Amino acid sequence: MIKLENVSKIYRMGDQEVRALDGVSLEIEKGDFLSIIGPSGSGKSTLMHIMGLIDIPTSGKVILDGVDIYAPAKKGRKTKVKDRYLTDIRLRKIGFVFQQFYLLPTMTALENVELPMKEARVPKKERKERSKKLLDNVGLGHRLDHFPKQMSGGEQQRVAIARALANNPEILLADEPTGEVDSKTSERIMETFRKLNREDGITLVVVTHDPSVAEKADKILRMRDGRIESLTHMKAR
Amino acid sequence: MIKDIFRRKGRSAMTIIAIIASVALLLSMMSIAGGIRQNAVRHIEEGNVDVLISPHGDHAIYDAHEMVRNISEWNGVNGVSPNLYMFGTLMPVANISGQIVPVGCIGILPRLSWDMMGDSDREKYDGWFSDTEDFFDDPHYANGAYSGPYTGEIVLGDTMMDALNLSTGDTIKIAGAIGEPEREFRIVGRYETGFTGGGMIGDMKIYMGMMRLSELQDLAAYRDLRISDRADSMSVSLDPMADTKEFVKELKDAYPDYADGIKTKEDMIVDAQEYSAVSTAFYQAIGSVALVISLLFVASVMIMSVYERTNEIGMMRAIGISRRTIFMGTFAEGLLLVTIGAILGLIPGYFGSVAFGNYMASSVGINESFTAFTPEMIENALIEVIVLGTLFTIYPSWKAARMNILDALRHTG
Amino acid sequence: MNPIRNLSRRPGRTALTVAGVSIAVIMLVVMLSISNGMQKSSETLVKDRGVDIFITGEGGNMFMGGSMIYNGTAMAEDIIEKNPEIREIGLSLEGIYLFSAPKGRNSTSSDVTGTYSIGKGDMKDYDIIEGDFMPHRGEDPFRNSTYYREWNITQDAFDSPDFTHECTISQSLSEEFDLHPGDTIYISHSKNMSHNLSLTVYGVFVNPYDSSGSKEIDMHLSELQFFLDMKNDPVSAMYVDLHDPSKATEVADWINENYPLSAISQEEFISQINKFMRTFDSFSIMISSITVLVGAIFISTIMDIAVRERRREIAAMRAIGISRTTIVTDIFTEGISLIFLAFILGTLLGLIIAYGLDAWMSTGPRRMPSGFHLVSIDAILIAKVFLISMALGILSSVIPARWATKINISDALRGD
Repeated sequence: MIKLENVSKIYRMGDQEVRALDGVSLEIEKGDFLSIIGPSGSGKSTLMHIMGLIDIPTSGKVILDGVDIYAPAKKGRKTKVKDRYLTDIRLRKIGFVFQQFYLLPTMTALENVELPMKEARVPKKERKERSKKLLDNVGLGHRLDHFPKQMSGGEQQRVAIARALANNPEILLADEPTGEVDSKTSERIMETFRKLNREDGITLVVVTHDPSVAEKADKILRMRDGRIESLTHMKAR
Repeated sequence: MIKDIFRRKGRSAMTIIAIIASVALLLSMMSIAGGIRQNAVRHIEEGNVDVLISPHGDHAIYDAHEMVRNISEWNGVNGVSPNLYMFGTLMPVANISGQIVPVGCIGILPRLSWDMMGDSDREKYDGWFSDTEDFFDDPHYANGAYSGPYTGEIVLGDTMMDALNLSTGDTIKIAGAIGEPEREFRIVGRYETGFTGGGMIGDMKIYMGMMRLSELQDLAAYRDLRISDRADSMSVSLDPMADTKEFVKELKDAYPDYADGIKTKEDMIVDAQEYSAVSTAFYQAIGSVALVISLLFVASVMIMSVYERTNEIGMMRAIGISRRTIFMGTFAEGLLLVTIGAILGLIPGYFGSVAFGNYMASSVGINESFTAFTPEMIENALIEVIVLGTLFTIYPSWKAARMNILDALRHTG
Repeated sequence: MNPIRNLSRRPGRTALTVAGVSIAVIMLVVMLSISNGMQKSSETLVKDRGVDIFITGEGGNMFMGGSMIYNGTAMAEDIIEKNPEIREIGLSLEGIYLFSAPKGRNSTSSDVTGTYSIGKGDMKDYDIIEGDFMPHRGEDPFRNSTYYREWNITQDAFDSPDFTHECTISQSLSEEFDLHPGDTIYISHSKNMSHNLSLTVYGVFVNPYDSSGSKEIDMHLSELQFFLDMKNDPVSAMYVDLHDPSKATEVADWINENYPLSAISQEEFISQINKFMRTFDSFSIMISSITVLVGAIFISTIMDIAVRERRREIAAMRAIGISRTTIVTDIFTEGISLIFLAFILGTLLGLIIAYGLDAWMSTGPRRMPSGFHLVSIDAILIAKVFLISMALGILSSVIPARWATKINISDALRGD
């Protein structure tokens, strides 16, 4: 479903060149549960950003569902049409979960989950029902009208997950999802991910620096210095 | 913490600009207010008039000539000068080559009037009445009978002479009213009215002239004037050594009818100041509104900066820096912004005052300057800015100082 | 993304911003309403009288009090006969200051006016608050008397057997002497009331143009002229009423051409007055502009900071698929809501202050004429303020919105 061919990302910091990604090629298939692990500066976040279409590779191809996303685009320049197109893909096909949750503080849990559906013009009734269901699924059916600041870190992350699933994405990208929660919640979150992958067939990519979290996935991709070090398949559980 | 101002250049620049604009406006307004007050008072101060007899309403002074002779013989009196004003409906009209033009006329006793004038006023006259032998300098009145020779001399205002192409030496005809007999007058001088010939006054075409008292009384279409030898006011100048209070008392005793219309120079200055006090307050108030808004702005920005620096402040408190230091630091920062803005605002303030003042003068049509950009005024404005600025910066500084350390350190975002 | 709730995230900041900008709105409202008020008042005062053309002697103008018109009646009769557009001419002799008092009291200076009308129209007199108009109002019967025509003065007091002795007095005069309809008042040239003429008060009126409570007496024109020994039928002003007011300029021009008079139409008069008002107008515009400018700086800077603070949040939204359009719309909505609050608050307070000023100016010794209102507020004014406010809201959101669209999602999320 997602294929990266020889993707590189180079940053200019003053007159220094930083190669965040160096010729990475990777293929993720539908239903995969992949974790990406590596020390800081290894390029894992960059890789996730590129996969999630929120960053553009300096060179190389990103192919999503057989479509070469950046084909007509020049080096680093997004045309307007392109951006709307990308945004739309992010809205409908990709789900994001962040380390810092990034819930909107002025909205309740329910409203936060509804947000992407609202953007996708889902009718009100349907949106509300679906949001309730999603929150129920992550065990927060009783917190619908609470604001983020009234919830613990773990609860907020769960809301974020529900939100990520709002528009039935094909793939869920999670960037250090357990970074700001305790180990128990961490377990729970990974369980949820598992469930989503096994039962609902959602492709999952999790970036983490924590090996115990990485091991919960089916495949582990190790990165270092912008390159893939190894790709390990875990035994099926 | 002062260097934090430079950390956020855009923000600091905006606050300073806002303060500059408001201070400039405040200064301009204060300058105009000051100018109005100044003009009102200056005329009075510079004149030689120590006591003015000006009966209330339209009570007039009767038997003016005799009163002049009487008072001028009193102790301590330097000079007495009566004035009769014929403006409004009963203005005389001049006939200049067929063009009928109303002329507001002032009747004076020339020699006495000249003696009363201050130097700056005298400079406004180019040419004057000729000297005569008689005591009043008013031959037509000689012996109190309005039978003496007519001099027919007149001094005209500059706006009239310019508008009608008249020069000193020309002869014009003047009648008490249309239909009344005309008399010839020779222009013996020209004076600066202080009107520019433009603006509101220019549009109203206020033409003025001065002639001898008895000749105006004669000319005027109002029957009563000659019969009762009427004047509208009388100015008195006293010896420097004379006791003004004594004189006023004597005057009230001798002329009880005019008692309520006697004013000393001080009285007149106080009146002028009181009158302009309202407009002064008004101008200052509207000038201050923009300032208040800018200071609210400064306060908001400061609050935001403090919020952004929550972690930083928490850290400082944790390592032992006192609340007081933090307070003073934040406070100094805010006050510095305000002060920079205030000082920079002086320059546009100056230009603004001049521009506004000139605009006012030209739109009214007067030659006066309405600008009073004095050191005193600058001082007042700066004091106002700094006092208000201090008030508005206290709250954010206090907020910074009273932060709870733990919360501050833990603060995210 | 709930822009309205965003404002309540930092209630302190929002409150301060709204406060600051509403002060600017208050200033705008007050200045505009005063400017409006002064213009409307003068217009209304002039229009209310129903006078279509104002006439003074040649070379004069209504502000300075023009010069005297002699043989006024003859001229007026000629005018009305020759020009059928005219249906009434009111003649008045104004600006005559005499002394007046009831019997045995100290005299006070009074402004005496003589009136007479030719023809019939609908020009308004001052409002009578007690009693009634003179019984022979407008008719001036004495002018038909032989005494007047032959100028036969019978006594020192310039009294005459055929006088009606009718008059009306102003409210201030009535208050000063506690005079009421039916009472007698005397007028004289001198303070000691020698050679006085008696008049019977029929009514008490209020002059809406007068601010200092001047003491006025209205009487018949010919009787006043006779008393003043002014033989040539002098008149200081004429007021003309036309069948068709729209012809005012035409008729005024005709009068100017054919008679030694200075005539202006009501419209022209009003525009002359407005010309004077314009000084205040431009002044107030300058002042309000600077104040509004400062308000604009205030709100744009705050909006800018507020949006920049939410950089990561915005990036996250973009990442999960919220379009730039949605984000820009939200920012504009936020800016406009902020301004809208300031508009409401500022307008309400501004109206209160404006009306308060008006009330304050209508009382006290230095008050304005009673027909005058300092302040006038109408829908157009509110609309102007609204438009300016909205423009401000939009402008102040432009830069932050633009900036928001340029956020690099990846960098922002990474925490750069």
